[in-house]
Amino acid sequence: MVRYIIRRLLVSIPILGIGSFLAYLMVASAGDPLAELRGRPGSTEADVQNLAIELGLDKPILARYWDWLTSFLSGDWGTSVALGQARADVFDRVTTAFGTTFKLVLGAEVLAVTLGIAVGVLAAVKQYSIFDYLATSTAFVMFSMPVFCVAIVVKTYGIQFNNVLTGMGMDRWLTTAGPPVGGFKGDVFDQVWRYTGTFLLPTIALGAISFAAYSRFQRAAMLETLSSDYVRTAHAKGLRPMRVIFRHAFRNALIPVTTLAALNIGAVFSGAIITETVFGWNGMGKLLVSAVQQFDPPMLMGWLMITAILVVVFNLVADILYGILDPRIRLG
Amino acid sequence: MRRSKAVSALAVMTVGVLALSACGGGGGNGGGTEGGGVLTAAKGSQPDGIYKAPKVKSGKEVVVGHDAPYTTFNNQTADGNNFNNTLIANLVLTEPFFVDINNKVLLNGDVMDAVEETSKSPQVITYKIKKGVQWSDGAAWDCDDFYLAWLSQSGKAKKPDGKSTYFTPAGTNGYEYITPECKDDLTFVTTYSQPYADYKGIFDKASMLPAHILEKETGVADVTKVTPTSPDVEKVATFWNTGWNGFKKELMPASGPFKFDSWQQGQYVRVVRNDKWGGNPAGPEAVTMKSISDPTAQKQALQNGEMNIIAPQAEPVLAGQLRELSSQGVKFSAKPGATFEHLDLNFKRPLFQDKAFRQAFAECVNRNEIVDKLVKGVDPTAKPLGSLLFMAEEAGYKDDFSAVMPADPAKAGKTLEAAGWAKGADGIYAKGGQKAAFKISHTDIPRRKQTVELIQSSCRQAGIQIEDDTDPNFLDERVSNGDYDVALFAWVGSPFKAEKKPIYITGGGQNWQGYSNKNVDAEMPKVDTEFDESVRDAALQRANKAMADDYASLPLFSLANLISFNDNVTNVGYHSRNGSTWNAWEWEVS
Amino acid sequence: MANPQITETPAAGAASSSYEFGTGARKQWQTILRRFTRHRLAMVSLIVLVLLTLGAVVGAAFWKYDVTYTGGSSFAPPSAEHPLGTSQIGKDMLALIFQGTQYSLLIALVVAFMATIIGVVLGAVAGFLRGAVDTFVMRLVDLFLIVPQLALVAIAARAFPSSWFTVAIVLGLFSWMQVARINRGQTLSLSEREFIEAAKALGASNSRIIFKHILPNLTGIITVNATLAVATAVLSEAALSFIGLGVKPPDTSLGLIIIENYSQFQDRPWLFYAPFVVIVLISLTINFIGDGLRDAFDPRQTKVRA
Repeated sequence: MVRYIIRRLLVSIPILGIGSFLAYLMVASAGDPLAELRGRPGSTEADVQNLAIELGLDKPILARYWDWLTSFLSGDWGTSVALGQARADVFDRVTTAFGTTFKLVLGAEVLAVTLGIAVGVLAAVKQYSIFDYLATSTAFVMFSMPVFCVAIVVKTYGIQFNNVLTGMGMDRWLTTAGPPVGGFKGDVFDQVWRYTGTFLLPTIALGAISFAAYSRFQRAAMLETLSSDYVRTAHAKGLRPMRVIFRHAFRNALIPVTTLAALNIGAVFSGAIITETVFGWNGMGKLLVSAVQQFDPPMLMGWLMITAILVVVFNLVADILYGILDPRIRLG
Repeated sequence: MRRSKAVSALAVMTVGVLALSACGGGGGNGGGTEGGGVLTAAKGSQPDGIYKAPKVKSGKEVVVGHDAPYTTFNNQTADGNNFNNTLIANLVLTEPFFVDINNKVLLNGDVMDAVEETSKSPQVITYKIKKGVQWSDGAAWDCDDFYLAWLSQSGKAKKPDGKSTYFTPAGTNGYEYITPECKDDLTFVTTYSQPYADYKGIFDKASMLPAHILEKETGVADVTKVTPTSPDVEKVATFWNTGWNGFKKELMPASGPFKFDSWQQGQYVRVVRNDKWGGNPAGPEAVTMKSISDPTAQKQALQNGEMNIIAPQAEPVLAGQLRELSSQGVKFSAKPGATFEHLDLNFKRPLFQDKAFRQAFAECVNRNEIVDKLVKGVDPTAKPLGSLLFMAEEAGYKDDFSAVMPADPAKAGKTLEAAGWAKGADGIYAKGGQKAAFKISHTDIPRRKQTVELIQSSCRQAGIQIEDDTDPNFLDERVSNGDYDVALFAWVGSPFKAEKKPIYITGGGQNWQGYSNKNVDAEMPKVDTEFDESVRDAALQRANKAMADDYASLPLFSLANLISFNDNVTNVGYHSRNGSTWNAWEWEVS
Repeated sequence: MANPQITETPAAGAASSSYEFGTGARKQWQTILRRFTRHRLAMVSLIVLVLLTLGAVVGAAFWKYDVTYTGGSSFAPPSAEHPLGTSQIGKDMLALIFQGTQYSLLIALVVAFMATIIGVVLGAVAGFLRGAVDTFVMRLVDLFLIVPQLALVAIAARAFPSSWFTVAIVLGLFSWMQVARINRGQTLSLSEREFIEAAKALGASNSRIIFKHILPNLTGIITVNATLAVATAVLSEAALSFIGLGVKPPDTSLGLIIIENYSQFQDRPWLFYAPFVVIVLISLTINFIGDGLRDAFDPRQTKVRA
């Protein structure tokens, strides 16, 4: 197992390497970091030259990539070059934003997987029941909907729910503008209460879409195992139906969904960009948009690298989960 | 982000140029509010032209929403300068003069004894600093801080190449004329090489950074001994340019009523009362500045009680929604500000060298419709702006543009025909192979796009075809190169008329449209030399009339300043230059 | 055409072998069509989608207002004059939605077309040639999937002048990976089959085998995935526009219209719901049509998709 993980990680390195090079080419050709300075009133050609040298733009692209790569590996991710950003440190900026978004992504995934499995299993066991139809149609509508629409609706009604709470003389619970300043304080109960209040709305908004996909997937997988020979055998042996469903069918039907969830992390991350925007959170979404609009190549590279690493790690997680859940597969 | 984009190119130019004169917008003394609890004058403003932080009730923390994250303590560098940093500088830094919400300039009595003009020719200004004023780390706030502000922003410290400078300030206005001297720790003397009427506008709070920190970090014993040519200037400049970027609390002592408490990159900044502040202590025990870029999200956060004060960009939809929240205890105010939208016609384009064509364009733009649909939702009393040089509330305001901009497409068509234009088969006029067609360039702001759509629509009736050129980087990269047919953008206006000169005189630094008119060139320079306000205003009125008759630049409307807050906070108002936090220490929270 | 029975009658002297071949082909085609038309949900969806598309194109041509009209008042509520009300500057919302629907569909079609072409070619080539080519293509897929598509498109689109077409092209360039994977898998199993062996034995060139023998057998999968790609593309474009990095005015899209109006979700719900319903309908019907097609092409396959 350990050897497998190490080997997989080693395979990932060239992918990340080549990916970083292609990303560097793409980012470098997407704009001109000097354009703003050229257009700035009172700037001289000398100023532009100086900045070009400072940013290394006088060197050929391969040399620039190499410089970037070596400093990236040594932990220096560079500084922002966008106007008004005061040369913010890319590593700090990207990791803070990543932290915000990652919590959201993780929460949404957990929620979506749990609910998706539950609904999918139930829908399969009670195939063609009203519940099944309801679940199916909900799922279809969900993944036919732009992500931000769910977020908009959830947020609006969340605030109204708060109004109901205050109407009943309670404090506002659900928040819309990100975690409280200075973290979560108070006793354990208070902290949990505030924490769920902060994350509930965006997590629901983000989880809804993947939930739809997972529930469909789980239903299909469950149907397949339920109709397989070994399940029929188990029934024939006279085992109680519940026992058959959970001990025999369910375990095997879990495999596709868990791997899908891990592989799906990139897509959920895309969704998080949107959800954050609706909620006004300063996460990876906001960072991406401003870095693209103001054209901030070092920031964009940091952004791409950290998400790439995340995806690679989760692909590995998917493989490992697959190995754990399916005893027929031996990793090694 | 939207606000800073809208004004980013301009914010750079106007930094530190709080040009000065007495033509404020009226307003009472000693503080005042109008209906709805919105401030019309600072509470601590005294009749004798002095400001002192007032005694206010001590209260809880206030959370303020703003557009984009805080980036640097030194907001005067070209890299760092942005409006969001100004909002935070308001809280933690102090300055010799305090500009009231009604644009009155008051001596900051908490830190200054006096600022005097000790000689007229040459102009000499002497700053007398109050004894015992200190930074939150205990060091004295005194002459070396003034000296550093000059050293860093005068643009005198040139690199060996003779072209670029060691310091990279966002602007040098005023400082370049000064020869400074620290007579003693509490007396700073500036001698001007040419008269500079706006002297009260420089050495503003964002410029007054802690020199003692810079000395410690660079190892320079006394910054006042560093001249633009001394060898130490390079390391001083290096620290000034980048040393304060990000958030290093130990390098960021406060001189204002608040000091830094905590920060999370890209998320928020929190300040608390500064116990070393010499004046009356601030009302709120802490202020948290939280950045949320989406105006709707800001509104919802206010509605949901997560924020106390927001000042998003004024949009009719948002304004309507905020008004509706009054039943939930949300206050709202929108008043015409000093910033105005206008169309600049590029005189380097042959099309716009044709005066008849400029006239036809001016005639087909329907400003009433634009104001009705885009502005009245925010400020129901809004009207089209009739002057490039004065705001409607100013004494010198005279509407010269309504007459030349009748919003009459039919008339525009006749104007073109009279000048020899003929309508083509496509319904667009043409003359000598030149079609009556051009682009309007602007940044990616919904209001601008809508403005262009309305102009397109009314000018099409006049046989003029307009293309929409939306470019998010228009202000940052193109406008100052004159890379446009017609530019739609805003000037961050001010009552200080000296700023207007470079925009309209021949060859002026901001005259990007290439406009030139002898009468304007004769009248505009009087803003520097003419100290009699009525004479100066008359000159500006003549210049404005000349520009209207030339159809040079077409003012559309002034943008409203919008602020909205929960009714548990009082003494809140929006300052057209310094934004929502200009008087945060005066806020009373219940 | 006028009398289909006549064509059914074998013409005298027609080469019987080619005749039989023709009928055989038609029969398979007919079976698929019949299976599809029996899929009720898919048929209803097809009708709705066709009506929507026609409505957007024909409606826009005949509707009394076009998108340049700004004569209405600000935010007029729905009325006979303006069935969906007006925008802030007095444009007719119905006209705007017609136009937005056209753009959204156009973008989605371009994206789906590109994704299909790139994905099918790469997938088929990789699956057929195997070895180093296969490894290369699959690593390329991994590479493209390593960063969220939304981010890649946002950055890449910046390099080009903004128009709906560049947005569509860039989206297409980053949307082919799933298609390639699926087609590779199918090709792998196809290339094991006897008829490919036979073609190889007869000395057919690789490109001939791919284009004449493999691709025709992928028709079903290609059709289904191309259909589903349209639905995905509609939503991707909306997401991109939402963060302000997608289609820019004067071009428009349903996503952009929703974004401009979402803040009024409660005050003037029609402004939000009208484009929202259209976008959901487009995506939903295409999903159902895709399902119907899948069942029609391959009845053994389960009816679900994820």
